[in-house]
Amino acid sequence: MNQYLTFFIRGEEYAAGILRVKEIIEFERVTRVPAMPEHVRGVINLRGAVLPVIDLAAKFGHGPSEPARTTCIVVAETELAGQMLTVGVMADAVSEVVDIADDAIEVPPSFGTHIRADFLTGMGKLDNRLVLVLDLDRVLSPVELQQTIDAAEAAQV
Amino acid sequence: MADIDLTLDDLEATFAMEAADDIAALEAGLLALEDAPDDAEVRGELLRRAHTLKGNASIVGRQALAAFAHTYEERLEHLDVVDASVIASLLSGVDTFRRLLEGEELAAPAPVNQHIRVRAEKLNRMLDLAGEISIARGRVQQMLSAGALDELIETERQIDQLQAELQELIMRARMVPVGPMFRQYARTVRDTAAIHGKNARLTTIGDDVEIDTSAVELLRDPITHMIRNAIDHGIEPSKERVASGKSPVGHITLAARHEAGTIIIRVSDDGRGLDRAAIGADDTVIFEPGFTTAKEVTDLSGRGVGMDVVRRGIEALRGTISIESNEGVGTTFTIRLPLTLAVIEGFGVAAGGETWIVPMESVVECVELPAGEARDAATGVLLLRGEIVPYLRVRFFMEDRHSCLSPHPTTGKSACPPSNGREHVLVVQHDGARIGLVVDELFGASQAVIKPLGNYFAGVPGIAGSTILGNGHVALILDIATIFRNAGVLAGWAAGVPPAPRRDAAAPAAETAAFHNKECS
Repeated sequence: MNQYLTFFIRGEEYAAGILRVKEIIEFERVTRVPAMPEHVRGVINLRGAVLPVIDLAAKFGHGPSEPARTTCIVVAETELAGQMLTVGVMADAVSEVVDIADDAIEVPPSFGTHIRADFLTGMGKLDNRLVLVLDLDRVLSPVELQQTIDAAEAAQV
Repeated sequence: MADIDLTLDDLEATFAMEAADDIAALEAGLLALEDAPDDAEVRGELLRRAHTLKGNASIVGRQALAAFAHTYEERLEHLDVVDASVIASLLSGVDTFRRLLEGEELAAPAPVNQHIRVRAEKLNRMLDLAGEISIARGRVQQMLSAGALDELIETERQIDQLQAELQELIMRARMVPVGPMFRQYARTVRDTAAIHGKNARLTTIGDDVEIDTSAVELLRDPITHMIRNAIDHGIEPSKERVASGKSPVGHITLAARHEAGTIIIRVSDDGRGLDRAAIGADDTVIFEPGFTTAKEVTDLSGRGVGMDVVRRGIEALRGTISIESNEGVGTTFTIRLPLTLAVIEGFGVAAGGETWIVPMESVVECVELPAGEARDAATGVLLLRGEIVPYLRVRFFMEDRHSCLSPHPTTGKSACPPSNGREHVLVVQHDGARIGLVVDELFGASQAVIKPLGNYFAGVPGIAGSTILGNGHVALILDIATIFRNAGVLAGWAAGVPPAPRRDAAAPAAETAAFHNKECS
């Protein structure tokens, strides 16, 4: 039985392992960085540390998020080449902390989830609903980011 | 519980650091012994270090290391004839020590310097906090000046002083002497020369000069490369040296000193100098990508990792590198680095709804963009007191320049030029050349604590890092050296079309000059 934080992005409920989530902060002004793909929103200052902010809606192909009153940034850790990297993830709204047993997380079906299956650890079954359990390392990896850039460039040629 | 863990960790860490020191001392001692085989003091020091290593290794349970140290100590005790082959074999023992130490303690990389015992991570955090204090202080200041409460303002001034002192202290704690780094190259020089059938020794000057601890790591590869080049291409074989009236042993000198807020590091050799026939009159061509004089690739150099990589490494530290070479006399590389890598004097500007910081050392002057210049082009050309200055519009660095049509979703600001139509040109220089950066607003000079942008943004051209502004937001620091080199790329990337520079007859020199006395700061 593990705990997960759930949050909404474009009406879909996602879950991230609570051990990876460091804190949740209000959405604030993000400084844009040139030459970044749409889903790398920019950088923010979190008590003196500069963090990248990732817009998963854009990454999942839904276009950039429009910040609203409930928009927040989930500050999470991701592993990159053996090092922990702190990253902010935009969420339209944070929902709750839930317990999900490992055997209640199933392999995502090959279609129907609206996001690439390899971004997911699986689909978590709660009493009355399903949540998409994110593979944070995969979703937030700059390597993945680089591939996205490469793909975009290839598409333009 | 936690205390005990900490103590064990401490013991481990202390052992790893001390062992690394002992191993470095063994290496230095062996190199000294080669030049003075009968020096009792050097022999004594070698024995002491090997003995300490053995003792410490057995205390922390490093049996393999302790056993090897034991054999090594015995060998030193019974050292009879000292020649090059004996030294070489003992030096390979030093390498074995290093392997054993690293193999058994992955968590503690061999420290470069014995004077720093604080993890850089912690220091960086201290620096972050100090920066935050100053931001909070700025807010208090604003509130106070509104209320005109004299006493509080005075207290605030004291806090200001304390905080400045703290920051200064932390900066200084990041500084380490260059000596230990310099001395590591004694081995590089000896081994590299031996491979080449040459004879060379290293001399170090200014071992006490302190540099930023992060610079030590970042300078290691560039200096190694320059030393290898010096031996491969510069130092002549002993016979040739004697024939031209030089000492048979070549000399490589590493020297460090302070000069007017910068650190100067010189790497020089007394070899034959640059090959004029291959290079021509302009020495700086050796910094061009792909440059090589090597007719065949040797083990040491000529494998494509050239001086352009060295220059890029130095520029990444906001430094410069220059070369001076005299045929038959030798070659000297001079590296200039800022005193501290953690803080820069920066000039703040606004463009495209963002704040950008331009390193002050690059800033030449500010002028207002003449009225006749186009407002919607990524690039243009300005005539400034008779000099042609091409310019880039910083607003166009952001790929979403079309968002000018609608406000930016995050900031609510538009990336349009200022409504009053006035734009400013910040003239910046690099390597004697000048370009203009067209911006919407000038904020002036201030100190900026540099924060690396991290892996996510590695390789973004034109951006050197970031800093946190007084209002708590992040601003990007422009990398003037790469902007110069990639000006064409940056312009094309923003405009989507090749830039078409134009000489604007509507901006005569006299008109432009009228603006330039407007001070930058």
